[in-house]
Amino acid sequence: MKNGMKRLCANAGIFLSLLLFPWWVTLILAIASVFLIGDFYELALWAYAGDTLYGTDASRMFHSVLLIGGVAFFVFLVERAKKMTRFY
Amino acid sequence: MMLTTARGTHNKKKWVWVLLIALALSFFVWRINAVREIFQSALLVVATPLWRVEQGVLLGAERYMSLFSSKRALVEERARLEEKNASLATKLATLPALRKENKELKDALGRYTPEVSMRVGRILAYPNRSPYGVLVVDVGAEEGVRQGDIVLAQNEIAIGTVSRVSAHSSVVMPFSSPGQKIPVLLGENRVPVTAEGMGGGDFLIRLPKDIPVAVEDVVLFPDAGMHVGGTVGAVRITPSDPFQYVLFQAPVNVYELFWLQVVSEEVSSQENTQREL
Repeated sequence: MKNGMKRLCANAGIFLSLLLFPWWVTLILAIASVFLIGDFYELALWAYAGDTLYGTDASRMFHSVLLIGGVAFFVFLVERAKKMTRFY
Repeated sequence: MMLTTARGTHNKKKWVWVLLIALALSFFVWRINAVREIFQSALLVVATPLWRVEQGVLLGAERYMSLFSSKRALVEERARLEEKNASLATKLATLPALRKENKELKDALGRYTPEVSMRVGRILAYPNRSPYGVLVVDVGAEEGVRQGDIVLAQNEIAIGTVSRVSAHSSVVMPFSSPGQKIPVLLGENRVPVTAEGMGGGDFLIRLPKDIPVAVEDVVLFPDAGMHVGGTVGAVRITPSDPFQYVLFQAPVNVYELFWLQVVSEEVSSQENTQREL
């Protein structure tokens, strides 16, 4: 499968899982996508989408910022780790 | 040597881009709340029909699977339900009279009792969808739902409060969400204590050993219009501990429900004046 197609499938899978499956399924899919696809920074957008859909009033504002920043940082760390790994 | 330098510059550029995008996004989300609203509306346009289809499929599958239940099992279940129904009907028969008496007594004592309005909402998403453990229902601000409204199941059982309202949907935070603390009245003596949510409709109360508590004692939620919150399922007592631990559970399983009722206090100008007086 081509990289672009892989990325598209991963995004569609995460979006559907966000709406239809328990959160831990989405989490597994997201982590797998980060490791299988390069620079999967759009995950931050999906995290934000999840927070927007299900977030309570208490989890607004600064929580969203932390969430997006945290996810982007996680993807960045994984990318760094990938570069240091022979497997990739 | 040249190659290494080019790669190093490329990596530096990438770092700067990542940092800039993260900062811009964070600022955007934090500062401009309207963006969130637009994003949420767009998401709900896609999500709501999908959730409705899912509910329809689940309901259809449940009905279809019930066709395969054995005849004997169905007869047994019917008998059990009839028995339960008769018992509940007897209990319910006294309820309107008691409510009326309660209201009359409160009025006689000069206590303000607000009029409430009830809206029925269909559950779109169950607590397992998000790590926050919330429910999403299909009634929102356009239907008159407000933040802080009480959410009931089967018109009697307090489930949670409306935590966030959109135009046509609301996010409901269940009382039983892990870590959530709520004041309750326990048992016949209505002992005021604080219960802690444990998730999945379960609650825990820690109170001194000398307060009598029995299994099946009713727990009321005074903050939710004195509606029933649950019944005591177990009482844990250990000789070395001066406290006892009471576990109680909501009488309904949220995952088996399709509809919820959102209760709002009707506030009119006349009532406001009455309240001020």
